[in-house]
Amino acid sequence: MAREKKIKNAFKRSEEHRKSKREKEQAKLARRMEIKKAEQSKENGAALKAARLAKNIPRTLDNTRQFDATSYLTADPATLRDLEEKAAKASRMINGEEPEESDDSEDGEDEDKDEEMPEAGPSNPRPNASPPQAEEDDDDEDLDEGAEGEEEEQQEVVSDQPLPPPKILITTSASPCKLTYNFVEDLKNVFPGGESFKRPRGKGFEIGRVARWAGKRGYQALIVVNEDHKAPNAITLINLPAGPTAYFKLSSVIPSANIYGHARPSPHSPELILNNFTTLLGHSVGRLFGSLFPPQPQFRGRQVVTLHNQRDFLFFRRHRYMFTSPTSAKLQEIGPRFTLKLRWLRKGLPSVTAPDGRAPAGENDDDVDVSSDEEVDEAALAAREKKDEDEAMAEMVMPDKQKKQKDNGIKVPGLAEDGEYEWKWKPKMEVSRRTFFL
Amino acid sequence: MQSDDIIWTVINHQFCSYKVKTATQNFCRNEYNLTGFCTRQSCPLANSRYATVREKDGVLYLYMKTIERAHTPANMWERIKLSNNYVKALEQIDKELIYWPNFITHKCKQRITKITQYLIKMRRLSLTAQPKKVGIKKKLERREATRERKALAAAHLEKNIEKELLERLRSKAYGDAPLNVNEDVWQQVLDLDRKGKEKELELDMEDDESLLDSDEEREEEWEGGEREYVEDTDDESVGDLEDYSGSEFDEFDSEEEGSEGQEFPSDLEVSDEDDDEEEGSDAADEPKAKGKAPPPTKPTNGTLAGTKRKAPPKGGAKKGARRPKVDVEYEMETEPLSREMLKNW
Repeated sequence: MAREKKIKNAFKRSEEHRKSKREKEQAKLARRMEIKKAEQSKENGAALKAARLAKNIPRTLDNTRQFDATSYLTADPATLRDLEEKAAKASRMINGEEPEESDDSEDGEDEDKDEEMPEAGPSNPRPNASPPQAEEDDDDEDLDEGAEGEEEEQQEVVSDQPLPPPKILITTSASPCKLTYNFVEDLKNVFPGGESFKRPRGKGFEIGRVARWAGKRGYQALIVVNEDHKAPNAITLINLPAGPTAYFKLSSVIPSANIYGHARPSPHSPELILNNFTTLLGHSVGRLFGSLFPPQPQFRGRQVVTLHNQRDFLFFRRHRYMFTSPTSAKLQEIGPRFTLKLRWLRKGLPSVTAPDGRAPAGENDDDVDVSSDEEVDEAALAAREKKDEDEAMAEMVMPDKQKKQKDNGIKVPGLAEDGEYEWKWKPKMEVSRRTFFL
Repeated sequence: MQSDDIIWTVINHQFCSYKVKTATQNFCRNEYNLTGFCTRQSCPLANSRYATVREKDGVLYLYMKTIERAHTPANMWERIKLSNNYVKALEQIDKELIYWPNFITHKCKQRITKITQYLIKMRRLSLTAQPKKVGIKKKLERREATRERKALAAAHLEKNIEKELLERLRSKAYGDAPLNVNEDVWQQVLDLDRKGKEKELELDMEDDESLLDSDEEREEEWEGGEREYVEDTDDESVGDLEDYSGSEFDEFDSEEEGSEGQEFPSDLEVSDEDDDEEEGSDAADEPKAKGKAPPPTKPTNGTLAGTKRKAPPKGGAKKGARRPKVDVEYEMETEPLSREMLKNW
């Protein structure tokens, strides 16, 4: 069939085009009306509609996700499991053992899905046989602490009191602005064990130093809110005493005061919902967050903290809920609302000193009283600066020998600047729109 | 021949490429300038005997220029490395620039001091942890903001949270007597659970009997039984209440249709005891006896208290034209109403 010849008269051509377009659209409309009518009929309607919906699943980014196969942390958990099984089988064949059929893989699955999340906070030796309800909750996609409530209640019989909430130290970069300060105050009552302190500029208050100090004092985590252009823009989450460090980009911070009709928070420990963490990296991030909250939520408070991962953005919400019927619940938003995006994850704590490893003697640690929100007033700062200047002048006059002795401070091995990232986000990773890492 | 005065008059009055003029002051951009100002004493071009101190990579050098080498620009500046020690450097200056004008030696020493100070500061600064400066990438920021917005839309947060919470409730993750649920709601949950189990048992045992529990009140489909109630349309207004009569429900277990308004079944029973016989026959006459399932949440009007119910209004008849109606005849003290009379009510 030869292609139809193009009509040379522009007006006529456009008219024909308009006509044909209209015809097509009318035809389509007629088709759709028929479908609608058929679905509204009594006998088959619902079935037809269900069939149509089942067939036409819209293609979304979440449906067609591609896992990033470069690292095992961000790989598809299904393929990881397959690899594990294959490796296990191969090793069994090599060693000539009897093939143990289902136990291994099932245990692996159970471990992945059920037992990871509930391990929040101080480690409780949890029985491996989770109650059947927990398995109902856990899909491939959801991690939650639903099973915890029951298990905790079982275990409470054993231990005397509920464990205290994990202590968390929240601070900012130096000289925070009002927005950041308010955000820190909001965060303080999100975490039941939260405390904040003002971090002064200067030598003794590098993040690494503060982290080690806090670890010694029994804090479980350190949160540093970074500020830029007069607004909080990043969060460094450091698990103590020697835990991983995670750095998130913070965006869309809405304090509770700006939420219309917000609920008032209460000091009860919240329930935790961690949605949609699939890869190993996602699991570890989810677990990191879980460890910030007390393992035993107080259901009486009816507060729920949600960290929902969608396309690598972690949405944080805090609600007060109420069940109005077995099929519906109402939510009233309480607390701050913000989004996080993981930038990098490292093992260990941040380095204390300059890369060359030198550190002056750590007298400052004992001086700093962090538990109370003490202000470092201007005079002290000025005095410190003057001290620095005097030192400089003195150094100039000092003969060389003395200088060398002065540098003999404590050597603290810091992390090498470039290496040692468990996972780092780089802009060039974002080649495909369908690749997500968490 | 070198004449400093002439050079200076030209530089000052006509043009000097190193001169930077500002409202209050003239600066000199020449690297060898001792003070940085454009003045007669500190111009390196207009002084044939001149000295400066400059630092390169943390090392201080003394540069000297004499008239003897004024004709060889390539070798004009003599460079002497100064000691790292501040005091020794000062002494070196004194030694080299002995018999030189005080202005030059003084300014050189001042320069040494300043340079040493800022070098010390730099070293000290490199020891402290400086915040790492990262550039703002506008495209990146814009792209991520858009993606965040779309991810938020795709996340359906409230729905997912609700779903999760209900899952936990139904799966008994809160234990047997949870603190975060209303008593009634918890009872409903337990009943649903029980019903579900019974249904399962039923399916297993392939029992055809219908379940007529007293607890079956909810939106659950009414199962089994002799007749099925099918909903005709979605729009059921309050006015439909008046369509109901006791007759339809007498024959069947009224409790299913009673739903949440619990007064309803009892009302029916009270009103219909009188009308039982006649309406039962009437109802049987009608070939299509399709009853409407009552809407789930029925507001219980005060009018239900009456035993005799009014006939449906004109509007009801119009609605009846669109869908199958309940043809019901009410008993009144007078003879039963026909449809025409109803229309002309």
